[in-house]
Amino acid sequence: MAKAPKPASKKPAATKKTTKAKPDDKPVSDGIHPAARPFLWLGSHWFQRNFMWLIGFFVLVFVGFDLFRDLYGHFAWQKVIGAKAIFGFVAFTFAVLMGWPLRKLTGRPEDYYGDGETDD
Amino acid sequence: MTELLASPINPAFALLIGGFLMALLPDWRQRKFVALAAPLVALWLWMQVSVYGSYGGIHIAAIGLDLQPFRFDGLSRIWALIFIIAAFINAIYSLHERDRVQDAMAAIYGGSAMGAVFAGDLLSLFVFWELTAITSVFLIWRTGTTASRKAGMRYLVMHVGSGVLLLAGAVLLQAQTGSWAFEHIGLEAGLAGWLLFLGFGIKAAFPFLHTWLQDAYPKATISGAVILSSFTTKMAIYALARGFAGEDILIYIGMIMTAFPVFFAVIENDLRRVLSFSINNQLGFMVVGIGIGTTLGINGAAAHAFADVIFKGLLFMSMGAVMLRTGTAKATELGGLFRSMPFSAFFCLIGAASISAFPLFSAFVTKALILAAVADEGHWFVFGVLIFASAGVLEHAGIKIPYFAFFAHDSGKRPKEAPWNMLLAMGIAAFLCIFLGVNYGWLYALLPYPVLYEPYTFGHIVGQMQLLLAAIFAFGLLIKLGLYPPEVRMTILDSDWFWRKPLKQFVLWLNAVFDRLFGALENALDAKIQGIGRSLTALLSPQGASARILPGGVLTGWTAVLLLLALLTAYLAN
Repeated sequence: MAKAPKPASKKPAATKKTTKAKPDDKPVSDGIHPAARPFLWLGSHWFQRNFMWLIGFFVLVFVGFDLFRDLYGHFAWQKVIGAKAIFGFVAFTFAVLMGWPLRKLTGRPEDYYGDGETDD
Repeated sequence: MTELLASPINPAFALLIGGFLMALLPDWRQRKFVALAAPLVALWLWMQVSVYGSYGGIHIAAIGLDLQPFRFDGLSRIWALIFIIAAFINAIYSLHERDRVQDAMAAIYGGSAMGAVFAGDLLSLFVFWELTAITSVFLIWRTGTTASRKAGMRYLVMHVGSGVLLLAGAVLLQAQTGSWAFEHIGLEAGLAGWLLFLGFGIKAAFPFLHTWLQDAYPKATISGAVILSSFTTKMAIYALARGFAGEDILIYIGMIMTAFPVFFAVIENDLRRVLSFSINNQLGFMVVGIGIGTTLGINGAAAHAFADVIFKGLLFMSMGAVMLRTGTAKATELGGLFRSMPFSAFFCLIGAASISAFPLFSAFVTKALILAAVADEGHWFVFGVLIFASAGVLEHAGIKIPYFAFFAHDSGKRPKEAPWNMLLAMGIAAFLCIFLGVNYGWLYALLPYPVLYEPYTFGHIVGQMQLLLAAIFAFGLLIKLGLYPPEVRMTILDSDWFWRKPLKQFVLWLNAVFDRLFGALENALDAKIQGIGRSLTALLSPQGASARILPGGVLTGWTAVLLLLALLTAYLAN
């Protein structure tokens, strides 16, 4: 099939404007709050990808503390080294992974009840 | 402290009178002055009461009514104080708003909640209980959307229903005991006890009675949601602590309350609804403490309610600031806001750390009191579920709220930082979160019973840090592996589906059936009535049979009938 010729652009050819920056021009505001500037690294991909390893290191440190303290508790499982860390990891993972089947079961379109739920 | 007043005055009056005054003041500056002054006056009145007791009782001997509207004791004292603090912080937070109805209703609502806490009898409790429902609904309706109007109606039905159950239970209990006093009730009181228990349970958002919370709070106005999160549910927790402490069933109800919202909050997109689920979760801890019923358990519930009003309020305030500036609280629309709202982000992180129970933050102390009470009683399964719920609350309130609003992917939105009054209110709440976590002795001194529990032991700090850090590590890992459910715009069904869908359909069907039935009946009756009319006309009209044989027409006939009725009445009366 032959290609249809491109319609001629209705826009007039852009005239090239060259505006010289004046030396006293301020940079255009990027919306960043001055107090946030020292912390912009928090939003970097590198930090967000690798933050968890730092946390993982601290988990090991706190599990290590179990070796130097008397493990006590009302229940037997509390006397296992790193018990709370294991519990925290498993509990959190379970809660999050349960989200998949739960969403399948209970998720509906936003205006499911038909009373303008989306207008908030 | 020197007593300046001859007889203590109920601090609730300061907020109630302030609220009614605000309803009359057209100038917003005057209203805001009253909104700030009323909690301060209430605080002053609260400080004047140095002796526990019941003040200003009303006794009507003729009907045997003994009302005790102002009972000041260890339990009511701490609840009243946190309501005063909340009313003050909320007044600062909403200084930029110019809504006369909301200003007035917020103050009356806070005053009513305080009045309920001070009520020494069930009738006073009922009056304030219903007043909280009637005033708080305006904080939902003032959003002005169709969704908020409908959610407000559903909220009102549930809460007025809760009051009706309370009244029915109170009347039955009075018939049994001969007293209106609001003391320990217990389920052994039979039907009266159960009615009161259910009435309290609706406002405390028991499982299957909880949906009004997630339905209404996210649709309230920006400051309305903050105000709502402070009073209603905590008032119900107080009522349970007063009336049903030590009821075993509360341990299991509370346990379910801590656990089930965790799953729903993971997939919820509206961050204010996530916080509403988080309210359920935290209420569960308090309910468990009350169910345990020991002095440590009750202290834990009271302390956690106190801390929760502040840190939950702080989280709602930070989401309110986001909503004010971006127009939404949906996670799908947000992200990266720390770049332009760094102070709001910082305060949100403090609220998140507090609710997650990091050391040096308030819930580290208060949640530990409840967990210790549970462990002391040997409830190993309940203890395990509460630890699970602690990891769960970190997921939704500790990580999800700040992460999806202020960090995560950059939404490109660069809104202005929150107004100064919002930042000030958040700053005060954030300060209190840390203050209570560090100077926990100050909180202990307010609790109903003496406390010996030491939260800052090496074992407790290490164990808690393990739990929280491992959970955060799991979050990072799940995100990295793409296993964290992405945020999606949708409605998540809850148990209210049963009455919002099948029950609604059933009622509509029933309505149609009755419409047809009554239509047919009406037609049949019309035909019958017309027949009777024709017969009467034939008998009583000027051309009728009676006109021919009796003196007079229709009028005469009716006069005779009326006279006969009058004579019969006079006869029977004598």
